[in-house]
Parts: sequence; C-alpha cells; structure tokens
Amino acid sequence: MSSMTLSPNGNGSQETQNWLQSSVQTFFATCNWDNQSIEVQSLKLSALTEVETELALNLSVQDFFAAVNWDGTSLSSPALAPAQDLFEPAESDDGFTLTDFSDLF
Amino acid sequence: MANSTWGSTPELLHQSSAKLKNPKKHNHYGFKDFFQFDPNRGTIVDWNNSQNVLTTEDFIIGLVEGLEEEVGEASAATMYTIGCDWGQKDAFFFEKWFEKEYDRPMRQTNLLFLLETWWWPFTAQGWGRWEIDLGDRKQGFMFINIFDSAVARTLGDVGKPVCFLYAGLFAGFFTELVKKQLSCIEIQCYSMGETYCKFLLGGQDRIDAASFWLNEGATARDIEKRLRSGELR
Amino acid sequence: MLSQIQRLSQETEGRYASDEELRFLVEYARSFELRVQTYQKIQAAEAQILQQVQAKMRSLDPTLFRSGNDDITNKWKRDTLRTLRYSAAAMLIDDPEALRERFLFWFQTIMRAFGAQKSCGVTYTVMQEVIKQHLTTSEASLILPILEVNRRMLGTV
Repeated sequence: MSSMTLSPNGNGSQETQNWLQSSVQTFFATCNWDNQSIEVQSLKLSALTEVETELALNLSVQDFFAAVNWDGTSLSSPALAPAQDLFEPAESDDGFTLTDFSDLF
Repeated sequence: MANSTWGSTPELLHQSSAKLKNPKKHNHYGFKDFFQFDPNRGTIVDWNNSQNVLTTEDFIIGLVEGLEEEVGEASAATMYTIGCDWGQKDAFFFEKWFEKEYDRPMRQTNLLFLLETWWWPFTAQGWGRWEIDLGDRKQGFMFINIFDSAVARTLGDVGKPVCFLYAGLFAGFFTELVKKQLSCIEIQCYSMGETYCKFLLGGQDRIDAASFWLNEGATARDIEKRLRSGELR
Repeated sequence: MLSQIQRLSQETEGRYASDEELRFLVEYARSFELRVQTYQKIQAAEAQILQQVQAKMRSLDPTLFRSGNDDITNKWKRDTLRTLRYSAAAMLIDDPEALRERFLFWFQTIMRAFGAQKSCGVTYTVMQEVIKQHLTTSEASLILPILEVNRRMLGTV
C-alpha cells in the first residue's frame, strides 16, 4: 500500500485547524449541520453581544432551536468537515486494476 | 434522479461550505452533503457539479407508459439504447471527477474500489444500491445486483423485466471502461416478483445465449449455471 | 439529536410540538454534560486507545495488518482514527443516524471493496474492550452502542 502524505488544506489559514482536534466549545460553535439561515446565525451572533436576545416566536421550530445558544460559546465560521481527509484508496490491492479487468473480456 | 450527466453547465458549481473547506472529503454522499439546493436559481447541483432534478414515481410511470404508447414493444430497446448512451457519456464524466478527487489515474486504481465509487452518486440519487459479482470474470462475464431499482419498485410486479435503462447504463459504461463491446441483460427483476434485480454483463454471445434461455423460461439460477459450465446455446 | 430536530421541524410545521415530541430534547439536555465529558476523554486518550487496540489485534492475529504482501498498519491507523473521531462526534450530538447516512453507509462499501471486513470486525470488537478502560460505566454506555454499530456495519461480510 502507498504511504500517504497528508497535505494541508490549500488556504492555510486558521480555519484549516482540524475540527476534530478542537475543543468542545469550538466544535459546537462551528457546527452548521443544517445550513442555518443567515437569520439564525445572526440571532446567535446577537446573543453573544447582548445579555438577552429574544428569539421570535414566529421562527420555525428548526430555526428556533438552532438559534438557541446551547452552550454560550462564540460563533465562528461554519464547517464540519475535517481539514484533511484521511482516507486514501490503495494503489494496488491484489493488483486487480481496471486494465487487468479489461483484459478479461 | 439525475436528469443528465453529460457535462455540467459551466456556471453550476456545488459550493457548500463543507465542500469548499474540504473538497477532497470522500464521504460526501449523505443527502444534504451530496446535493446543494439553490432555491433562488431553482437548481439542485450535486458534488460533481452535475445538475439534478427530483422526480416522483409518476414521472417514471409516465415515461415508461408514454414510451410504450408511442413505440409499443420497441420501448424496451429504446430504453436500453438510451441507457447505453447515458452510460457511455457517464464513463467520460466519471473518469474526470474520479481522477480529480483522488489524484490518481483511473486505470491504476483498485477495480472494486473504483466501481463502488462510480456507483455511489447513483445510490445518492435514488437509483438503488448495488452489488457487483466478479466471480466469473475469468470467463468473461459478470453479474450486477440492484436493490430497490427505481423503475421496478415504481412499476411493481408486472410480470416482466422492466429495468432496461439500467441494463443499457451498465452496457454503455462498462463498454467504455474496458474498451470492448459489452452488452447487458436483466435476468431477474423485482417486477417479476423477485426481491432484487440481477443483470448479466458480457460479450454479445453471452447475452444472446441468456436471452434465448430466458425466452425458454430459464431462471436466473439456470442461466448462471449454464454460463459457468461454458454453454453458449 | 440534530436529525431528530430536523424531522420534528418538518412534522410540526404550523403547530406546536407535543411534550412527547419534545422529549428527546429534554433527554439530550440531561445527557449533555456526560456527552461532553466522554467526548473530551476520548479526544485526550485517542492515541492510547488506538495503540492499545493495535497491540491487542496484533497479538490476536498479526495478519490482520497485512494485505497480500503489503503492510497496511498505517492505513488501518488512519481509517480507524477517522472512524473513532466521527463516532465520538456522533455520540456528542447524539446523532447515530447522521453517522450512518454521512459516513458508515459509504465506508462500508469501501471496506467491502478492499475485503477488510474481518479486520474491521476485530477492530471494533477490541476497541469496545479497550475504550471501557478509559471511561466510566456511564460514559462508556454512550459510545459502546456506536462502536457496536461500526462493528456490525463494517465488520460483517
């Protein structure tokens, strides 16, 4: 099997820090599983700067619960994918490649 | 279900935050990962930048019955031919995105892994799960099983095979892949009361033989046995 | 939990959710501290966990780290580490459904393509034993079911 070189994500900024190694606080802050709307994200943001942020009762259930500041953490950029994908396929397994396969027909 | 995979419209790009952050994330086949919905433009773009259309069973029924009304018994051959064309074009499309995602040439990749990777978008799109059986590859044929065929599941038990589009898709794709003329025939179908659909892929002589035996009332098991014992008529 | 919220939001469109429908949120809130604790413990111990699982597996059957003539230890480490991290994340937000849909269904087919089911089966059996040594009983009760799902999905032919 090939030994793999893990190359860092192209943009090289702080945001490439592997989320899987981040603290729980940061983890939750960067969750955007459901592609929260701008409205929801701004609600969360305002919740940080003001002591009390009122969550409008006319929000949909999803947006309402999503906007609750569950853990009182800071909001940063949404991302959940690891900066580096650790999976790499084998270069040769039992050596059975497409070329070998094609020869059989 | 994909409406077409032959070339993506240049301005349509899947640009979810997840993809932008990690474009090489290989496990991206969850529904919300694979498809990006843009309500403003009314588009659904998948991870490989292909435009998609969501359809219902009514669409499938309309397609199948409408075609039958137009061309009668030629509808099976028509669907097969459409599938072949689709499969052939998809082979080119696949090679491009695979090599981009994995940074390696398709031809030097582990075959089973390559094929699983090819089929995943189809699973994500609702075409069904599959299983490849390469046990007979040295004899120059192989089997593909499809679970939850969109066509068969929609039409239900109608007493005859219906997955001609799939058979064509496999024929077209694998022909392009191995650079040899291959054909495909469905030898077992959910629409005939079976629990899954089974396809035979191989050279024309094998397919002709299977077709002949099917017409004589052979079961999939019979066909498998005869092929393995080297029979060709 | 997040998948459940998604479903709830669809089902309760235009109306209030019943107490019954909101129960999972209450339960999640109750278990939250424990989940965070467990997540952090796993995070801190991941290198050790992996090393212990590897050692145990090697003593059971060293061929588990060979594929033909190739040594696949590094590949095993990368795949196992990633799976463990995804599992811990799924445990944290109590969303095994998302773990299946976004990772396991796909990874299962990849493991089958490489014939790695036996290795996966042993990996996640051993990992359940090993991880118990790092966690309290109640912490373990959160992660073990997920590791068992991994074992079943990745480790059966």
